Amino acid sequence: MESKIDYEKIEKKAASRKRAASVITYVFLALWAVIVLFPFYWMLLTSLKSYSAYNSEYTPKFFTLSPTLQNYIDAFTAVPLGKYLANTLIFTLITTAVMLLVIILAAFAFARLEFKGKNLAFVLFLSLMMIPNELVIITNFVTITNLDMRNTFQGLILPSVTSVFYIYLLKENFEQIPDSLYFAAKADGTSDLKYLLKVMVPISRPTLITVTILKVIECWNSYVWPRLITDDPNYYLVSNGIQEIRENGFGRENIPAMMAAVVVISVPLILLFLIFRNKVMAGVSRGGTKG
Amino acid sequence: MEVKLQNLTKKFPSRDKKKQEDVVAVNDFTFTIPDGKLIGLLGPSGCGKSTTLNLISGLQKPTGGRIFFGSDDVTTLPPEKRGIGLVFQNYALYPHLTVRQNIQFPLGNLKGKNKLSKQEMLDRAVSAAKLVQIEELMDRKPGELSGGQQQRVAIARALVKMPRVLLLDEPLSNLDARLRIQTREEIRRIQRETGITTIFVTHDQEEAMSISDMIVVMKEGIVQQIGRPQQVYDSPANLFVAKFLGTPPINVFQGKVRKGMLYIGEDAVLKLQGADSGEDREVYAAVRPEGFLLQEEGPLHCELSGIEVMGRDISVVSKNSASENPAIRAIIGAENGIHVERMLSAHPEKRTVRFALMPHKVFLFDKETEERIFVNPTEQMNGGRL
Amino acid sequence: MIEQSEMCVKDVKNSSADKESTDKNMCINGTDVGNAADKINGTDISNSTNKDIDTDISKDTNKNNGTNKGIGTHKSNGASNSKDGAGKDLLERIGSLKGWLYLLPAVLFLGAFMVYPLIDVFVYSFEEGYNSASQTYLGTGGYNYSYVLHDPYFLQAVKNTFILVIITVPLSTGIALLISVGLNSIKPLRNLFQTIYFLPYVTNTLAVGLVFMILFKKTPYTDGLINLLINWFGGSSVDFIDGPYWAKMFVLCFYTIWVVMPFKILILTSALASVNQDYYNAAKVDGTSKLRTFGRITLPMISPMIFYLVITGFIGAFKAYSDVVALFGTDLNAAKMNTIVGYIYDMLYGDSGGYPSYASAAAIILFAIILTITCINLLVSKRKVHY
Repeated sequence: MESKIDYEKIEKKAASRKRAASVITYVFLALWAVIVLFPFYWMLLTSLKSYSAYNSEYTPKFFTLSPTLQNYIDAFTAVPLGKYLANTLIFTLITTAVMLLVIILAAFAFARLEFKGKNLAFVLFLSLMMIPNELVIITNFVTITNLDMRNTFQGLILPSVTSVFYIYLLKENFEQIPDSLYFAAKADGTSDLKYLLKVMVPISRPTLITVTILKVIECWNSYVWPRLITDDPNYYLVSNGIQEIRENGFGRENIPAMMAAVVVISVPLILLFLIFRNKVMAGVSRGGTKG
Repeated sequence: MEVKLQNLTKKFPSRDKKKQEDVVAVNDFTFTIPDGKLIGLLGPSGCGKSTTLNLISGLQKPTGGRIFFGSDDVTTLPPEKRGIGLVFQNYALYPHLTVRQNIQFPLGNLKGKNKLSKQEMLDRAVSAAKLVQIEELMDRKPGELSGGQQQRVAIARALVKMPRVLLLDEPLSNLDARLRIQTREEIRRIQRETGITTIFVTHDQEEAMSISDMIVVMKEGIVQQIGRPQQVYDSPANLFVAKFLGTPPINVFQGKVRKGMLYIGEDAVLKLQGADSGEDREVYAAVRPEGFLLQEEGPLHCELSGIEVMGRDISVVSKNSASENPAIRAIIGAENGIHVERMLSAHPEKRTVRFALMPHKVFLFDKETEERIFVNPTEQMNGGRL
Repeated sequence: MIEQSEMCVKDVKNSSADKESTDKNMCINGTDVGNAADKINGTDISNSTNKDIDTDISKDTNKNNGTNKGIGTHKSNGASNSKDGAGKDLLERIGSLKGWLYLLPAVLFLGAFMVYPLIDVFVYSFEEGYNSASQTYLGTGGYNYSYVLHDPYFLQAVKNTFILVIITVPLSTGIALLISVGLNSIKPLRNLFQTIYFLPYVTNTLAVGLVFMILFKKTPYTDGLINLLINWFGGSSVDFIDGPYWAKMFVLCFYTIWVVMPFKILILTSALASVNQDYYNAAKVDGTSKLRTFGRITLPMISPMIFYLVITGFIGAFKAYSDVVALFGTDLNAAKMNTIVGYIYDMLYGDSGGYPSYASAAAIILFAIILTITCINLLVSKRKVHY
C-alpha cells in the first residue's frame, strides 16, 4: 500500500495540472474572442478617424485621440446610405410578413386540415427542401426580367417569401397542439381560421419568433438576389449598397467613411441579437445554417 | 476494505442568493463500515444519501471531515486513485461501445506496469461477465439490452478493475417490480462471491432491508440510525425511522402516558414499566401493522372500514380518532380473516373492531423531539377505559 | 359502397386491384364510418394500423359538421366513386378545397419560384445558342455543358471552390470543436464568450468583408495591419487582396472560417452540453485520461452532430460567393478568385452575362457535385456514426 506522502504528491500534481489546463483554456478562448472582435473594433475605430488622419498613418494606430463623426455624416450625405437602409427595412419587413402569412396557412393545412392529396403534397414539399437556391435563381432571374419587375420591390420580394423548411418547422410545432383543443373549438362553433389565429398561432409563438428572427437575419444580409435584380441604386439593399460604395462611392480611398457605413449597416442586427440573445441562439441552433 | 467516515460534512452554497445559509447535504457523518459488508444508505430523496456516495467515490469533495479506506486517508484523493467501482443510477453505459468494450473500458486506462495485454483484458472482462451472467451478450450494444441486463453490464464494468469498494447509486430504481426483486438477490450474490465492501443508495426501504448487512437511515443530511435491518425495524430510534421502514407503514396514534398506563384516545391499551411516577405525558404511540391482535375484548376500539386481502395476510382497515394516519392497517393471519368476515356478516351493523396490542410492536416517541422514549410496554390490557 | 358486418383492420400496405379489400374502411355493426379522406387522416394521426374507433367517429363527425354518419361514402384513393352520397361528396369536396385553399399561397409561390424554375433550368441547360433577347434557341444538346467544362474561368472557379472547401470545412469544424470543448470546461465568462463568438453570424457578410479587406490590403498609403504584424515578426509585406494567389486564398479561407464559426460553435457547444455528465463521471472513476475520455466517449457521442456540421459545411462552402465578393469585389474572374456560384451569376448577369444556358449548365454541374459529396458523406457517416 502506498504511503500518505504519495497521496499528497498526487493531489498537488493533479491540482496544478488542473490550474494549468484552465489557464490554457482561457488564453485560447480569449484569443479567438480577439479574432472575432478585432474586425468590429477596427471598423469602429477607423470610422472615427478623420480622412486625413487615416491616410497619414502609414503604420495604423490602434486608437485615436481625435474621434470625429464626420464620416457618419458623409456616409449619409455623400452616398444614399439612408435610402439603402430604408429599402432593406421595407424589404425585410414585407418579406418576413408575407412569409409568415404563407407558412402559417400552409403549415395549418398540413397539420390540421384533411384534404385529398395531402400526403403527396407534403412529400413534394419536403423534397423541395433539398433544392439549392442556385439552381432556381437562374430561371427566376429570367422570369422577373420578363415580367418587367427588375428594380421593383415586387421583384425583390416575391421569390424570397417561401421557405419550405419553415413550413416544415411550423407544421411540426402545430402538430404538437392536442387534437382535443381543435375539437373543443369546433364544438363551440369556432371557424378554422379563427381557431388558427386565436389558438394555434399564440401557442406556437416561440417557433414563430424563431422563424421571424432567422428570416430577418437572412433578409438583412441577402446579397445575391438583390444584386441580380437591381441595378438602380434607388432599389439597392445594404449589401449591394456597401458594394456600390466600395466600388464607386466617396472617391476610391475614403476608407473611414466606408467604415462608418459598415458600422451603420452592422449595428441593427447586432442590437437585435444582443436584445434577443437567447432566442436568436436557440432559433439558429434549431433551424439555421450559414456557411 | 474497511471504510471509515469521520465527521463527514458537505455544504453547498444556497441557490437562493438572498439566503446566506448554506445547504447542508451531509452533516457530521461518522461511521465505520466493516470490511466485506453490504451497506444500504436509505432515506427519502434529498436526504443526502447520494451526496454521501459521491463523497466516498470522490466525485465531490467534502467541506469537512475525513474518509479512510483501511488506513489510507483518501479524503482529497481524486476518484480514479481511490480504487472504487461505481454503478450509476442510469448505468452510464457507453452507447456506442459493445458490452465487451464497455466492460474492458476501465482496463484500457491502466498504464505503466499495470498495463494489461489484450488477452488479459479479455480474460478479466469475460470473468467479470461470467460473474454477472452476461457472457452471451458480449457483442451487443447497450441499446439492445433490457434494463436488467444493462444493470449487470454496469456492475461488471465496475467490478472488472477489482475495486476496493463498490458503490451503487439507486441500482434498482430503473427496473420494473419483478426484475427488481430478482436483481437485488443478484447484487447480494455478487457481493457475497466477491467479498467487496459494497455501499448502495436507495430510497426504497424494502430493497435496503432485504439485502443489506447494515442500513443507514438518513434525513436532511443527518444520520438517523445505523444498524442491522431487523434491529432498526424492531427498535427505531425516532419517529421518522419508525415511519420510514415497513410496509404497510407503521400506525401512529396520539397517545398519553398516565400513571404507568398508555392511553390511545380513551382506551388504556398497555401497561408501562418504569413510567409509574411523574406527570402525564403526551406521546406518539406507533404500532406496527403486525402488532395488532384481533380480540373481542381487546382494549383498542376502532371503527371498521373494510378488509384488504393480500394473499397470505389480511389487512383490517379501520379508523380511530386518535390516529395520525388516515386509516389504520392491522395485518392479521388469513385464518383470523375468516373469523373477521364471519363476524362482519353476522353483525353487519356492528362496525367496531377491538384490538389488543403486542408490547414489543409498540413504540413511544416524544411529542416534541420525536425521539424514542424507552419504557417497556409490558402487559397487554384487557379492556379498561379512561 | 361496401358493407361489412365485422370490424375490419385496415391494411395500409395492401394495394391490390381488389377494391373491396384495398379500401381501408372501418365498419361497425354494419354501419359504415369513414371515407377515403378519413382513412388518410386516420393513418396520419394515429400512425397505427389499428384505428381507434372512437376517435375516428369523432373526427368524422367533426369533419362533416354533424352530417348523419350512417351514410358513408367510399372512395378508393385516386379514383372517385360518386354514384352515391352526392351531398356528402360535395361536403367532402368543399373540405378538400379548403385544405388546398390554405395551401394555395405556398403552392403558388413555390410553383412559380421553385418548381417551375427547377424544370426550366434543365431545359435551359440543354438549349443551345439561347438568345435571351429574342428568347429563341438553335437546337438542343449537351453543348452548354461541354462549353462550361472547357471554359478556363469555370475550371478556375472549380479549382478555387475545391481548395476553399478542402481547407475550410475540416479546419473550421476542428477549431469549432476545440473552442466548444474549451467553452464547456469553464464557468466564469462562458456566456460572454458565447455571445462574442456568435457575433459574426449576425453581421452582414459584405460589410464585414470590407473590414477584412482593409486589414489585409496593401495600398500606397499603408501596408495594412496584417502586414504590419508580419513585419514585426520579420516577414515582408504581401498584398493579400491583389497579390499572389496563395495570399488571396489564405484571406478567403480565413474570412470564410471566421464567418462559419458561430454556427458550428453553437451546435457543438449544445451537443457537448447534452452529453450526460454520468458518462464523464464513470470515466473519471475509472481513471480515464482526458484524452481518452475525449476520443472514446465525447467524440463518438457527438459524432452525429459533427457529421451534420461537416455535411452542411460542405454544402455551404461549395456555394461560397458573397464572402468572395466582399473581399475581392465583383470582378472575380479577373482576380482569378471566382467560385462556381460566382461563375453562374457572372454567366447570368454582369459584365460577361446574358447566357442563362451556360449558367444553367454550371448550376446543374454544381448541384451534381454537391449531391455526390453529400452522398459520400452520408455513406461515411453511416459507417462511422455509431448510433
